Amino acid sequence: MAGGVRRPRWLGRLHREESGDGGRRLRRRWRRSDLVPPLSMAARWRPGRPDLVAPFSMAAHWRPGGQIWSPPPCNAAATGRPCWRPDGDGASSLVAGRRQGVLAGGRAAAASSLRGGVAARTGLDVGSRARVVVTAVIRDYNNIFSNVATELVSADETRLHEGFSSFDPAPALRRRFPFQLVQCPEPGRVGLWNFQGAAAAATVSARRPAGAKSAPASFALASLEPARMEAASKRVRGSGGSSGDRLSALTDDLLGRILSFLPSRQSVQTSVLSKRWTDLWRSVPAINLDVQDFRVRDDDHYQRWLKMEDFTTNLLMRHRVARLDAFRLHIIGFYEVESRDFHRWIRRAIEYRPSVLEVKLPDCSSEYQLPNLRACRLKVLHLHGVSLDHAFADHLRSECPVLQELVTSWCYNDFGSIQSDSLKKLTVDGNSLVEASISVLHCHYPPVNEAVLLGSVFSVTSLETRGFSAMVVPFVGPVQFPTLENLRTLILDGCNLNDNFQLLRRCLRSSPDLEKLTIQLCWVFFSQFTATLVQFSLLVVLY
Amino acid sequence: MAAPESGDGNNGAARMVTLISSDNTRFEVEAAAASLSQTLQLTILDGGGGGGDGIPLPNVDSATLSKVLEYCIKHAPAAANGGAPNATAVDRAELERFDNEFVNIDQSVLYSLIMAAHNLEIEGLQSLVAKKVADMIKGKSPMEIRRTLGFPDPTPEEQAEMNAHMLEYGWAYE
Repeated sequence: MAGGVRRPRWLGRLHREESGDGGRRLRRRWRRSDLVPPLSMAARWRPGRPDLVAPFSMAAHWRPGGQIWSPPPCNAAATGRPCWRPDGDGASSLVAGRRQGVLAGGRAAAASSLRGGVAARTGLDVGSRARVVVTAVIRDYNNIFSNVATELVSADETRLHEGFSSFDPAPALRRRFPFQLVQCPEPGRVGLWNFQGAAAAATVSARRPAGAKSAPASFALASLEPARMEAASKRVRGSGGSSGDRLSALTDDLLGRILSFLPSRQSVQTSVLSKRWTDLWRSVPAINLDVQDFRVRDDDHYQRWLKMEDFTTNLLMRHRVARLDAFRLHIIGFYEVESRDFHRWIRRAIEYRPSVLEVKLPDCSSEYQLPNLRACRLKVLHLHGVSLDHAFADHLRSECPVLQELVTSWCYNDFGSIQSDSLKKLTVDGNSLVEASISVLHCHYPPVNEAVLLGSVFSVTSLETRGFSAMVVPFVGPVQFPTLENLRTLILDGCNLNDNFQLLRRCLRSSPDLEKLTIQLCWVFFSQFTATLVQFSLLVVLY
Repeated sequence: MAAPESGDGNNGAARMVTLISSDNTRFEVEAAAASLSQTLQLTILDGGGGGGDGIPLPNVDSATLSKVLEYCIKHAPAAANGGAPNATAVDRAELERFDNEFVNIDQSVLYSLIMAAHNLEIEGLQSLVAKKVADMIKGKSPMEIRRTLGFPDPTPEEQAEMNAHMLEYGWAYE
């Protein structure tokens, strides 16, 4: 089969690299320009084109414990998965199970590799399917054939086929050659595993020219993530073994995650650490800006602002992520600000559709209004010194369906009510909230959070609570229980009053202006009922 | 997320699963704890990992896995209540204290943990460890960071490169 295979054009860039001395030379010659397939491998593969490498079908057949792979009986029609069918001469050809080929097969592969116990990533979404598929497979390769690595460096295909279970991967090899090459069951096809990253994936197709027994194999390389592979090869070429190197060896995603906990200024500064870090900051999924991170000599506020402005403009210009997880802007207590600048930044940040948005402005700039949050995926919104008009609450309800936490302080609140099905934490500072209706009926909500909720609406004149549990009171404590000074109407609906009416009593005691109390469908233990009934009626009479 | 054992036939005692590290050490843990890992959760829901055949985790060695499981076991009860831990303030303080001590470990272990948490998709652990590494970096100059993270001292060449880089990125260093 090997002789008759038509080599795909996109695999062909490295044909000229007759790699007589093995991997070392091969590695030296890899350049980014060599590593660019027009599409991902998996996306290119179609049933009926067995000449294109379709490694994902491997995972479907791998079983833990098996050192040497042997093709299972091919029954593509029944299983709906692609599988390998042994040909007469020991080679295999790929039989497609379904018409939609790749993605279906890939999905099956990922799932079955999970069942085989391999930690493969799932959670396939449309954009990343191809990558996920290959990742899963390559991990399988790594596990099964981890000891073939040394073989390919010699580029002797015969040895590679015969002896693939007899070699330990040598640490020295990792430094010399950053990728582990592993064998496919089909002669001439070799999988490639990047030591560093779980996500990097590629295949090498190694084929000996027909009839030339001792001629070195030629290599064709296709990569899904060429940039990362190149970076990895650089990484390994650097000083091996030190712990800084080990950190650098993590994937970009993981390093980005680490950097997202840092102030943006510092995350940019890490770019000087080494080449590996140069561009990492660009893809960090969080922007954390705090005027406190910028210092000037004699603490000239305006100079400081200019510095921050310069930094932020540069950062936003060069940052390249599709979405942000978090955007935090803290210029609290800082008055020498150009409002035009931070308006621009916030507008820009909202375009990134962050799930955490913190905007803390100087108290005096409260005429600033948040731009419209359209179809946002905000989960956490913290605002300080922002003007919130009457439409804000409606806007939140319609445009932020997953908002869980809203904290406002020093805001000019011009809205009357907040309605949300998703909100878990609400803190409204300032005493402008008038009416609150809080339902915790349909969620498992820890009492301590209920207490926080209750405490955060102390300014209201009307409070309706549904489903609050009796255990709120111990958490609030006798001292911290808020004084509900303005409260005139209190509705307890479906609340648990099993605590000898502690909750009720506390509410009543701390709301001197209460005029109307409604209790409906609250839970009371029958045994306690008679005892508390007296207290209860007394209380009602009192107020 | 409800603990998976509630769904299957093994009522009564908590269901156990066996995890096998890369060096063939077997770990038996409650399914609820192992299910903190999104990756394992699928397998466990599928009924895998019980009985004699464990779930092999060829990317995780036994030292790292035992550390990961220590975290999972501690956090499983809180996570069982649908992300909103039905916990008292005391419990949460206790978890926080545990977390702080948990990441007080050697750097190389920390990095293994990051990889393992990523492979196993344990959200809380990923954040915890990433935050710890970030804290090691926070507030330090690039040279201090290099020392902290164990980068080798820069050669004169590299030093020149770094200087050039800092000149180019003046907006971030000034």
